[in-house]
Amino acid sequence: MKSKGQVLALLASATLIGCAPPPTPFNATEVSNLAYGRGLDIPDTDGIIRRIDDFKGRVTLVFFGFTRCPDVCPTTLMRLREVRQAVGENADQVQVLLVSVDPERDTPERLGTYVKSFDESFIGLRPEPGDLETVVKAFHAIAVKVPTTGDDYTIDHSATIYVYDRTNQLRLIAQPSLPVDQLASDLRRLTEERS
Amino acid sequence: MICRTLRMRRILLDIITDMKVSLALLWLLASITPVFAADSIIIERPYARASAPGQMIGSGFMTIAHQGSSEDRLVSATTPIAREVQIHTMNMDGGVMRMRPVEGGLAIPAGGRVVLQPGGLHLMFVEISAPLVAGTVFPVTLRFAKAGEIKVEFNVEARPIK
Repeated sequence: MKSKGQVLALLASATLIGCAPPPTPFNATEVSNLAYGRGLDIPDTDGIIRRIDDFKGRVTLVFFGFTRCPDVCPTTLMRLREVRQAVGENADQVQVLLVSVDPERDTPERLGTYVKSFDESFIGLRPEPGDLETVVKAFHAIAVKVPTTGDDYTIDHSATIYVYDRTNQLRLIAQPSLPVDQLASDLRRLTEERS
Repeated sequence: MICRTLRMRRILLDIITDMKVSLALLWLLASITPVFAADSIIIERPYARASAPGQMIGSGFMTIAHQGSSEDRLVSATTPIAREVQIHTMNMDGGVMRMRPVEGGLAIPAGGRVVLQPGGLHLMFVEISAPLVAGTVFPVTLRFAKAGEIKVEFNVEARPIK
């Protein structure tokens, strides 16, 4: 139990320090000075070469997935649609990019229809099979083919979401389980920053 | 004071009526929720996620309850709507999604329940012959080591968020 005097002293010091409160931390993990994925050229499902720097002025989200992923990928895509809507009036400044870790089976057509079925604004990127390893490494991510039955396989892959600010700097790394409103609030803050 | 007592009684009556209604609703729900049973194995609420356009696979979930006295195993499954059905585990390990076929069948402990649900165990329907559309139903034959074959109807549900 604190005495009245102690409480008053605490309040006084809080008022003194409190003039410039430190910025509230983001909900996702904040990172800085990481050049993950910068400078990579990856074709989208229409064959247009994209790179993160193309999305200047937007908050860009990148994550890895594939159309044969039964659970995490479709769930993440649905959540990102919700996140984008929850950002509110700045929603159109949020760009979602899904990078396929299975370019051999994800044809451009298949990946395109899949990604757009969650949200028209989403873009599917499909590295050439031979470039996949370089792309994955550039994000310090993981994508490993694992045989299942016969000649069928699945792919263990990083499910983290990389968030770039309006100046294309990697700012946040979010787990797919981060609640929709928390990620939306982070993204809204980033859209409000000056570039 | 009398007035207040009457009001309390009225509220109590309302609550009881509400409870009766919810009990009736629960009973109704229970009676329409598909339950498929062999001698000792009961399959509760089998459902699949509606597939996204372009998606060649589907995922199925259910609860397997076992009332027998010795362990059984879900060894395999087949469905006319997919080339193959695989039994998978899925987990998140340090931000990495890992999916594995269940080796040697899925053990169903005696007197236990095994839940296949999003974020974990699931059936994967490989190379579906047509999109899985919400509101439709398709048959799956489950094969257990002891209980033998159980035919189940999977309801296709709109893709759940969680």
